[in-house]
Amino acid sequence: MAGLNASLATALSGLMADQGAIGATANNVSNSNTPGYSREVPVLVTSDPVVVGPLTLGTGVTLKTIQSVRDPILESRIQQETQDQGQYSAMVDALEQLQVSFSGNAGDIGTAISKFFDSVNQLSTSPADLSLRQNMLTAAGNLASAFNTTAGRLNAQRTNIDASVQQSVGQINQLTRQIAQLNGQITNLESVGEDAGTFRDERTQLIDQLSSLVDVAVIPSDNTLTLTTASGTALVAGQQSFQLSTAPDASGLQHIDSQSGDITTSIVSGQLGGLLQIRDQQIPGIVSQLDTLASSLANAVNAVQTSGFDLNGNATTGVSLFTPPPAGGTGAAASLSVAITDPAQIAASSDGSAGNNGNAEALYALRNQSCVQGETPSGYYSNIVFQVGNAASNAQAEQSASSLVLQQLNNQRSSISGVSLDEEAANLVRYQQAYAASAQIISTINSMMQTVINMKSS
Amino acid sequence: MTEPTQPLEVPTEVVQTGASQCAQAHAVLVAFERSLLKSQKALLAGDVAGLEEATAEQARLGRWFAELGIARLTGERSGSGRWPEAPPGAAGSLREIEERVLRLGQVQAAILKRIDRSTRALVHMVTGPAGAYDRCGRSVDPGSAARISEGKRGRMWRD
Repeated sequence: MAGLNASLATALSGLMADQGAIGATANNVSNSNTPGYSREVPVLVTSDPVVVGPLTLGTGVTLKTIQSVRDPILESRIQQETQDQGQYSAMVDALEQLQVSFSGNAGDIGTAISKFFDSVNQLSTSPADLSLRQNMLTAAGNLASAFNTTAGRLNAQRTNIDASVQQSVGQINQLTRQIAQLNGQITNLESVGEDAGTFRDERTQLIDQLSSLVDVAVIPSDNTLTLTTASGTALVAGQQSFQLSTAPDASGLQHIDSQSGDITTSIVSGQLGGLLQIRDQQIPGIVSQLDTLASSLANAVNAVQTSGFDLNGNATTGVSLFTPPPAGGTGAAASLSVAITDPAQIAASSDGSAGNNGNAEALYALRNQSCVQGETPSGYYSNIVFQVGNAASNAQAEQSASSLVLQQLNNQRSSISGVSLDEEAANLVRYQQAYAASAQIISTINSMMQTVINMKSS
Repeated sequence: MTEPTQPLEVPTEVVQTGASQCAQAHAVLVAFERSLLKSQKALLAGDVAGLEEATAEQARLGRWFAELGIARLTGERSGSGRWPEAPPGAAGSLREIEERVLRLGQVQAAILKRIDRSTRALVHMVTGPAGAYDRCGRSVDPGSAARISEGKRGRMWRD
């Protein structure tokens, strides 16, 4: 049989374990409003028993560890969704800015094309009227200006996004450094059996922040973890972080380099992925289409203009209305301008007589001709507007879906890892009762010991 | 948990008594919006029964669209830029609800895409790469899931 001292030790182990459990409960309650905190649960195990002759006697309880409650699969889904949200938030912001340039206001290209052809139509009713000629020249200037302004805005937006790319890379580097440091602290604590729950919570929050910036794959291992981009570029390996850097290419745009080289095209998600998608795909695509529209329209107008006669009856061969666009059309929208300043040089006549409007009508006919890659100028422009609107609408839908799913996942995380005050109150009562019972046992053993001592002294 | 089933609130008498196309379109779009919100909620909550119910509603509404020629109507609208027969105020209201329905549809498709992605990831985690190879090899057999759930016969098939 166990002696009184052994029973005292057993009761004492209960006291200490319950004290630790109450400590964990107190910590949970204190952190009930701390963002990212995962509740802790005490892991109680039976102490190794002692064999005394034919008997195996229990020796009480041990508080093995205090464990944070987490669901790694859920956390991985949250990180994935955070990446999507970062990507689509960046895209929505950029596409909404893009839409402003195509919003159908007075100075947009669509309106300018329409007004230009309206002025040509008016001129065809009175081809010798100088004021109508001047109107047409002004409309042509406004059209060129609309192209220049829109192309300029797109380029400016691209430059702004480029600056954001640099900023994002800086933030990524800072976060990976912090995560590598935390990896070290977690390894140090857990290798000696200590609980690193607080550091793990902090690391989870930093990984969530990193996920919103770039596509991250998390590879956990004992006491530490490795972070790579989705394409496998190492960001953090244990206690070491691998910094990303930026360097401008020939066009001045920042490319992202890692130790393995240029990884710009392999970043597809997170805020950085969204920014790169707008900077390297969406905006260049739109600019290219604007160039096609500007060059095709200018070439078509110039072809008619140079085949007619001006107000003075002179052939206008070589006298273009718009400056000839660059070969291949690249940069046409940004550089489009009106080549003539004298309204008399407009070729409204097709036979050299001042009252003839044959060429003006041919110019007006371009409005409904498929002169831009098989489409009318307005039709081609409408397609560009549609594409921008569609891209923005899709990105907004994806962003909404991401927010809804992320909200749902965070609610799930709260139900698993969050602190329930009701549950903690119940635990507190449970541990308190166990503590009181252990204390009662100690008190009883004490009185039994007193009895024994009194027996010996009497 | 599935919410109590509510009858589809398309006023069928309006549809059947030859109300204007505009009124019919409005009724169907309102029902569509309500149904899409319901299925979105069910999707996020993982409520399969609720999702099936809402999807069945949407299929029924889709048939109404076809029968009433509202799809053709919306096609005409997109060409002319306005709803035929619609009074000035109603056209704006129809456009608004049409955009909301379109947006809800887009969001639902995006949520479905995410759920599909996470389900695939889960399948991969549970079954390992072999699960993915299995899928590729038997992708043409639509009755496989049913047969697997049939017990003995399913197990024989799997063997």
